[in-house]
Amino acid sequence: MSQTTPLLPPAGTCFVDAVNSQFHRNITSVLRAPLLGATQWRVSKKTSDKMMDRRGWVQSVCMTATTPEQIAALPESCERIYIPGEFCRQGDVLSAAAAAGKVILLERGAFLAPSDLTRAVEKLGEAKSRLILVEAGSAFGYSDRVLDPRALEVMLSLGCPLALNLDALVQPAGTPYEHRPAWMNTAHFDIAFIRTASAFHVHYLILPADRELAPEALDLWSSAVRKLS
Amino acid sequence: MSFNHKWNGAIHPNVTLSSTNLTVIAGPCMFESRELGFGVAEKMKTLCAELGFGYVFKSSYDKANRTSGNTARGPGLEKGLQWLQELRAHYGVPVLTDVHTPVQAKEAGQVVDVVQVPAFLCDQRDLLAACAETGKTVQIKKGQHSPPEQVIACADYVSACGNPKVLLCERGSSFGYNNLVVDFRNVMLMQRSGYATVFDGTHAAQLPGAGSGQSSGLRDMVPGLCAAAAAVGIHALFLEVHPNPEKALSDASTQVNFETAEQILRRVRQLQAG
Repeated sequence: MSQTTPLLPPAGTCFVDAVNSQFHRNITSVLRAPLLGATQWRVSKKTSDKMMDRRGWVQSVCMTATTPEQIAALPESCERIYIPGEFCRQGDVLSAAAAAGKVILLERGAFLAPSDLTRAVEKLGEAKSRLILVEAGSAFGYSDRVLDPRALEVMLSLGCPLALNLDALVQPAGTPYEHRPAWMNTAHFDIAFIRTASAFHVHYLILPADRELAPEALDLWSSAVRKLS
Repeated sequence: MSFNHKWNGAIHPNVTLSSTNLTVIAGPCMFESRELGFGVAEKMKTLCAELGFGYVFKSSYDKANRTSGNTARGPGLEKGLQWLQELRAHYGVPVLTDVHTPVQAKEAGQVVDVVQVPAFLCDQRDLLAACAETGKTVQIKKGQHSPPEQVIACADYVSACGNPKVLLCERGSSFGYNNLVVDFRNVMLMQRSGYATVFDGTHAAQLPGAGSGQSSGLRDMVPGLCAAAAAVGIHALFLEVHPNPEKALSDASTQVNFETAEQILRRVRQLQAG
């Protein structure tokens, strides 16, 4: 691990309380390597992920929550709860999300076989009717995710709308593997992922607020949407 | 012995980690009953004392991330911590348990000597900070999906929170669906980071979700994996031990019985002596 890796800026505003956010900021400044990835970013930041469905961008408020306490503290204005893949089997988190009455976006853990997601969905009980499954790729070595068409097939068979978290595929969360090949770090592969998603009639694409699709990728998704609508 | 020049490895008056003498962290996966936990602690404490190893009892009060929602989870926080407290006092051994939320970390930190951050949750900052704030030793399991750099960065985070008493634990990496491989390069990287290094021999043999609604595993691989880890060099060995693993309420395919645990530890003792 490099000792000279530049420090990244702090992880954002904590939606639970501002004091905690300041705490994170202080800690981040003394790390010898950045610990800033989607997981931390989501946990400690009010997310404003853009979700694009076949009608265009959905601008509703979506917040990430990783504990029952966080879910209980979500404001009424939060319409959607995003549960990161690492928490997709946590019984208490899923129960709290089900009880909250909001739309749930449940990300399949990169470590979880798609067929095992069936049991995670079962833990949500009747809240399945408010569920959107999220595919964010499967762990394929360190700091690498693959989009497995078999996973899309299995997840669609569960009878819930399916979203594709594009950013998680291109740039996996967390401190990157030191030897990760540079050719993987490119949004150029947006095209390949969108083509795959379109072929499987995936309902939504998810992007962080500060990530724009290249015009070519946007056209590709728009075209797929027109064909299906 | 000093870890990153900040910690001497002491996790209990009776147990101090070192590179020359292994510490064994062992107990049933789930604290199924008070009798089960006490029985395993008594056996393992005696065995470790005979072989000259330090001993830490481990067990979980809540298996919060079971594959299926229809399987047992354990006695719960309150009863589980009570049992751990009683066991700690009765046998004079340190105890370890895993926590899943900052609230649980605060509660468990008042009882146990080592709080463990589960692999799936290894990079959750709020949880890491809460564990650090307990002032107890913090064991962080490397996520099956994480590169080694990530778990070392997590240890740095705990240390930066003012708690340098960190154990890094290798337990295998995702290698396709329902499968784990142990990459011993990770153990070497953990050592180089200066933190105490632990190898989880029983979870490393898991085949996650490969059973029908539960994880399966390759129990017969556990002894070889443990020997390899000892040869590479670790400060502690983590084992889940059950008197009748086939009847265990969790991880029945990977927990080892007393006989196998003894064989593993005797082999490791020979390796360390050699």
